[in-house]
Amino acid sequence: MRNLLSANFARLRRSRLFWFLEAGVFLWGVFAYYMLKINLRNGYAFDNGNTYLFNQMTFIGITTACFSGFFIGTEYSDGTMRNKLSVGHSRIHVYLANLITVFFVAIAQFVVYILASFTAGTLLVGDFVWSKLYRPVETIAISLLSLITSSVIAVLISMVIIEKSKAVLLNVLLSMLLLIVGASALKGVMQPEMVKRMYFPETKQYKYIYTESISEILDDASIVIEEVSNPKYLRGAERKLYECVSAILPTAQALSCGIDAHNFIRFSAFHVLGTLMVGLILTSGGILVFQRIDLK
Amino acid sequence: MDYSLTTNGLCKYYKDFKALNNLSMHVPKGAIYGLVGKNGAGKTTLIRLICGLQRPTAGEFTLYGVKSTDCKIGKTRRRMGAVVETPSIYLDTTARENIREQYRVLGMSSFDGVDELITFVGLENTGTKRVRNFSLGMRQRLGIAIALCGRPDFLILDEPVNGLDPQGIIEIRELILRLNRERQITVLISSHILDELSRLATYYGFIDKGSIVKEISAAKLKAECRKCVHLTVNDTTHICPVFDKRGLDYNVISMTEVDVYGEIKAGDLVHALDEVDCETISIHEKNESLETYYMNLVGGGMDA
Repeated sequence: MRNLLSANFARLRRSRLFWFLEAGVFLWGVFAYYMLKINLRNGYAFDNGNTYLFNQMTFIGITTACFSGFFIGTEYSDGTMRNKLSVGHSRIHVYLANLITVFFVAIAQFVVYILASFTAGTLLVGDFVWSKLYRPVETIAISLLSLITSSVIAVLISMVIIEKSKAVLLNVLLSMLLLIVGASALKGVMQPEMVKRMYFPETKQYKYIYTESISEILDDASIVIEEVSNPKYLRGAERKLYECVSAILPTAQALSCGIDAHNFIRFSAFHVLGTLMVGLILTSGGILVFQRIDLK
Repeated sequence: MDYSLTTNGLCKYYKDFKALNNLSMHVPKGAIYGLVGKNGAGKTTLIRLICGLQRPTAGEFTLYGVKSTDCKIGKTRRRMGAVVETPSIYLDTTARENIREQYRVLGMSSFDGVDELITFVGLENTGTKRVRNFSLGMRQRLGIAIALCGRPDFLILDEPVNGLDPQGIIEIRELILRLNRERQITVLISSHILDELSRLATYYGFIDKGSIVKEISAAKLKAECRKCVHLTVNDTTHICPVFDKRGLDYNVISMTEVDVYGEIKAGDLVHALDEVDCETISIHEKNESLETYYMNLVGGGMDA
């Protein structure tokens, strides 16, 4: 497998797409803190550093999926997968070598973004931005788990769908779908247990307030505001399911890194075990399918 | 006889379609083995199975004494190089980089021999030209160069001259002959172009409907195909001395039919046969080529 990895990384060095992605995340990192600098100048209340430092995680998941489709798809379209198998490399090794390569690409994007952000943030905005980070080590750990699952899913699709264009398209569509599912799961988990409810005596209607911005309507003395149990708060098995999905779905993990989700989602052994289990199941399934594919 | 490859009852089914049906073949070491068959006969399927791109439904093959079911088959495949259908090359890079990539796949300790290989296949002047801009012949030669990276003992070429112009065909032919003669590489080559194959092959396997219908050496095939005159006479009992006296090869088929090989003068022969009371009823010249031999073997309706 070492030979396969050596060949893959040599290809990676020559890959324009890889360097394009690296340049892209670097520029994004710089741009994000440049925008923060402008926003601060305009009076923006900066209280969550994670929003800037980790908000690219979902983007990296999608670009990794695209990259995987192109990188592995080229082996099918150019027929070079045959060169590996016909000289005796096992399909398991070919699969795992591609998985490691794609995971490396995801990590490389993450590292470049963090470094670019750190440099740009320090130089453009100042050291104080780093004091606004919430549990950065935990967030980095969740980010890495998110990249593992994203890579596993992307490689699975790229290895079992031998048409490059189909693999790329499906990778992107699935990333989008998982993003929606992840956002929904996260939204469900992050519902507060208690919410404020307004009662309008004139119309005899109730309205739930899910945000903190109620200062404007508090002046109206006729409106009655009371704290009640949130009807959207998930309980029992449903809550467990949502928490489980939020903990192992890469898009939910990625989204949780960039938002103020720390009171609801804490890094735990379940994150690690869940991610590893999903990775193991999907990779084993992918290898089984790949073993049975009749290559041309 | 030593064999590089033998197959035993190899079968490959795609749902209800039998691509290979109990196929058994023997590729002698050092031979250029021509695999002849029409479209859909199973040539490429057989090659894919041997290369490990697909798994047989039943049966097995033996590569250099190692069975396909043996866990050592992967290591044994290192002794093999293959070009299956289209050359397996990265289009967005150069010939040199493609070969270096295969060196890495093989785990070669250095890139020594890359330039030699490029020169051997005649691509030394391609420089930084991307493979995407190569002609079909150049790609085919690069595909062969990649197959040669691991210094194989056994080379498998699937339709290597398909779509090439006459110059390209000659270049590939010369290359295969050089590999066989200079490096003693056993070559399994499948082709539709029978005339081209007849210039290369030292051994033939005729495949039809997923089975090998005949294996024959080129020398034996040549003997069977050589020019001959088919005579029908009233009685063949006393004709042997006539042919022996003239030093002619012949084959008495029945009491009334005989094949005579070589150049003969029909008038003289009829006269000589008359002298031994053998009346000549008819004379037909037979000139069987590989094509007609194949046609007779597998029947009509072919497009090989």
